[in-house]
Amino acid sequence: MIYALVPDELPPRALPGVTPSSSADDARAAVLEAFGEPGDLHSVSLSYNGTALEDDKPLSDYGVESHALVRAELSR
Amino acid sequence: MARKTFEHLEGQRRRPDVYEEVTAYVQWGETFRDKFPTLPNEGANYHFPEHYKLGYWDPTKTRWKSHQWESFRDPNRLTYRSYHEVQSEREAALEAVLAAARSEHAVRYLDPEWVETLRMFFAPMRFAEWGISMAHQYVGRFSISSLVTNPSILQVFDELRHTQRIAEWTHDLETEHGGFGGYRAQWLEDPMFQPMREYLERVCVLRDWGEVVVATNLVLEPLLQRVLYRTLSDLGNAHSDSVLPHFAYSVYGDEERHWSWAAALAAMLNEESDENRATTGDWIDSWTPLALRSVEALAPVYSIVGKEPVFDSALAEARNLAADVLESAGVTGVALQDRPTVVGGETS
Amino acid sequence: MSTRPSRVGVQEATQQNIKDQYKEFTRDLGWEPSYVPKEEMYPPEHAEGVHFSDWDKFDDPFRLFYKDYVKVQEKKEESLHMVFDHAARYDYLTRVEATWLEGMKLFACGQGQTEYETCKDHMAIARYSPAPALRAAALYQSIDELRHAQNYAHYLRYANRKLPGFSGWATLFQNHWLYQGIRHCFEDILTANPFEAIIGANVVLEIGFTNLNFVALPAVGAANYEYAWSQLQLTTQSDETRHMAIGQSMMRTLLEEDPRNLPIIQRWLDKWTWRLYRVDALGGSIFFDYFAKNKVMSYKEAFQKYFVDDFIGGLVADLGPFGLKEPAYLQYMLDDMDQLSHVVWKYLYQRKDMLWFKTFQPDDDDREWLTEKYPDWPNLVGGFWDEVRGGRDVSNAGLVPVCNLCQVACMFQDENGPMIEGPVELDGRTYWFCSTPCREIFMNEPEKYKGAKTIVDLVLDGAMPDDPDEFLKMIGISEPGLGGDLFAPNGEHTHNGHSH
Repeated sequence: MIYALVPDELPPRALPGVTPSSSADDARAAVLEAFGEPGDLHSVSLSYNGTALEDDKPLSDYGVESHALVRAELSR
Repeated sequence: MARKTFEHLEGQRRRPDVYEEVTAYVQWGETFRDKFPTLPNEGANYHFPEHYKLGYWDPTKTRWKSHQWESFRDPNRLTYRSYHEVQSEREAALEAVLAAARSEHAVRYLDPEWVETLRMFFAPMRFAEWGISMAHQYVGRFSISSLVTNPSILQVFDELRHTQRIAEWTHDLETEHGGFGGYRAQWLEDPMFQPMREYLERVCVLRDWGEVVVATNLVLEPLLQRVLYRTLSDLGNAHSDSVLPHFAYSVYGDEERHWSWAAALAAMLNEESDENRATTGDWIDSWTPLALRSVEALAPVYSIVGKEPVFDSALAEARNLAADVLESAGVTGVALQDRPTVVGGETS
Repeated sequence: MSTRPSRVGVQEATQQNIKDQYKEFTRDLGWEPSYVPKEEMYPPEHAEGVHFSDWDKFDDPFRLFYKDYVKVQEKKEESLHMVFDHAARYDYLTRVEATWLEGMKLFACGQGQTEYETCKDHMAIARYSPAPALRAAALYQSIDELRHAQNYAHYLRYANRKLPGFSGWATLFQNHWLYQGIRHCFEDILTANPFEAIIGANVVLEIGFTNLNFVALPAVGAANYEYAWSQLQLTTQSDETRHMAIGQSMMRTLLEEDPRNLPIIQRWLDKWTWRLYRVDALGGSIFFDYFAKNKVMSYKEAFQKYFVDDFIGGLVADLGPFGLKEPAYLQYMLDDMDQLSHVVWKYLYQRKDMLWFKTFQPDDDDREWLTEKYPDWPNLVGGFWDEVRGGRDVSNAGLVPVCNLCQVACMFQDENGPMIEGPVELDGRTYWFCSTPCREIFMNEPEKYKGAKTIVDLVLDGAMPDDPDEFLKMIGISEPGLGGDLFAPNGEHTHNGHSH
């Protein structure tokens, strides 16, 4: 399972359906789903091992494996 | 919103009593599976590897199999609290007997024949009691349900009681008459005790708690109780011993409890399946010969006071009692009936 | 042949001989078997790792006779049950603070089983301890623990007659995610060798945490009008002084005997202080800081006084001369104090619909007290509770990484940020840890721990029901409305049991 960690929102939360072949956009959507409330405005930025997950490449390109912890910054 | 009982006891015909509410389902694991949805992985999630040190309670710790462990009820329905009510009263009664005996210097006036008889058997019996206690410590640890653990642990404690009272009265006898200090050598070497010692050593290394319960409570205790304590208390009365009969009576009360809970358990399991009945039967058959040898070897105790015939009838009564106990457990003790009595121990 | 002793009064001789007599009841009860191998009757592997030349030198930690035990215990039982009976007659539960009563559902549904586990554990110590003096001592402890287990069930009986939430304890304890940490920890003690088990149960739990659980906590309970339960805690504690003696005498004896025992004891002390901290402090802290409407002291203060100053301070003063040091993970605990109860309470509130007791938001008085006791409280969780007060739905039932040692969600942080460690790969499986101590303890004994699965592991394996109602049933929540919020956002009771 890939989990997203938001520093002020521990514990991390699972991103169901997100795999190493998912795109960073998919992962961002999943983070919104896991941490957000409908109607809230969020922007999400993700990073893994200090590298930002910015474009739409698969997560595996950043070294994300099937069990992993990605960091997320949320702004409300 | 309020309930009549706990969820896990709902649906019984009778409203559960205190005994049931405080002793059933306290031990988690295997026995819950037929009643509740349980976590995968054998109910007990953490089940650390079996070889790991002291190990865990689980269904492999006995050959008996059941889908209704939590239906077992100790016929005595004892809890910690009611056990202590009963036993503190019994201990107070025994204490009063000892106090009276001490103030009257009763021990001084025992006749020499009787003192010699006591010397032969009384003090070493502490080891027999402790052996049964050790065996039941295993049962207390590994039995699969809190309903079995409860009477087993109370029994462990009963045996400690007997052990301590034997040691205590031995002190009085030793102080007054001497010659009571060699109990360890007697236990280890005297032919009278060797079959019993063998029996208990073998019971103490069993790794099947069900077999321990059968071997101690259903096979050995009824025989031993009748041959030794019960009959000797009659003889003690005849010899004006004001302590032993009360002690024996008190022990008898505990031991009746022991075989009654074991018989109820075995009866429930034997009723449940032929496999269990066969298992119980195997255990009884394999332990009865050595149990008989253990009590037959005690014959010399009766010789000092010239009561060999009493021994023979005590043995016959013991066999009958043991057979009754087995019958109440739903099995027949063939080995008890068929085997000729060999006084003195050696049979092969 | 023995010689005839000089004539003394039998009574007097008996008095003189109590010490020797007690030795007869303990050390002298065993015998060398000859019909079975000695190592089968007294398996030597149960002394694993510990160095000792003559087990008979072990001193009896206390001298207690059956006849005195049953007399004293019967009286204790009588007074306890008198309190229970009066409490039931006068309907005491209606007088207990509503918030505290919810805590009792959490406490009472799990406490009995931990006592029961210790009962089973000490039966094996009685049977297999290589030191005969410990055997009889463990036997008394075992039956004490049976007492405690049954008395918590007695308490549950009384409460269950009046209120929901006290009924499903058997399933809850076995299956609910909130109890898995306790089960894992106690089953770990249960399967340890006798000496390690004594360090865990008798030293760390019964000396280290006992005053927190059985002296400080009942004082808080009494301040919240829960007298019957407080009485139960105190009478339980009265047995534990004996258990402490076992732990103290064993530790000292092993350290005195052989310097090679020091690293073993230190390792066990390090391990068990952390393992039991994770269970006991995590559970206990929310009683002091949240369930108590009438607050007596903060958990942080209680922990400092009873655990750090009294227990650790006393232990180091006493056994420091043998080289024993304070537990390796003590600093982690101290650092944890500012967040512990707040993080846990927030986590429970987010999952309040999966619980069998109600949680609630702190009111203005609570907030003031919490901020005074924990100045970082507004930064840590103040915003969260503001959102709750504003009506935001903060519930969250999603999966989170759970520690493969302590079975607690990885929700802790320190000055360097989140403390979660992982994923750690081991023999084809992935493991998560809430913190460095849990990872280190796991990695010291991977063979023991690697097979166990957390509830989340079971979900990911597809072994738990997908249907939410079935899932709740599986973890022991069999009726609706047990969990949820005790108060409406406007602060009124939603609880339909009673109110003040």
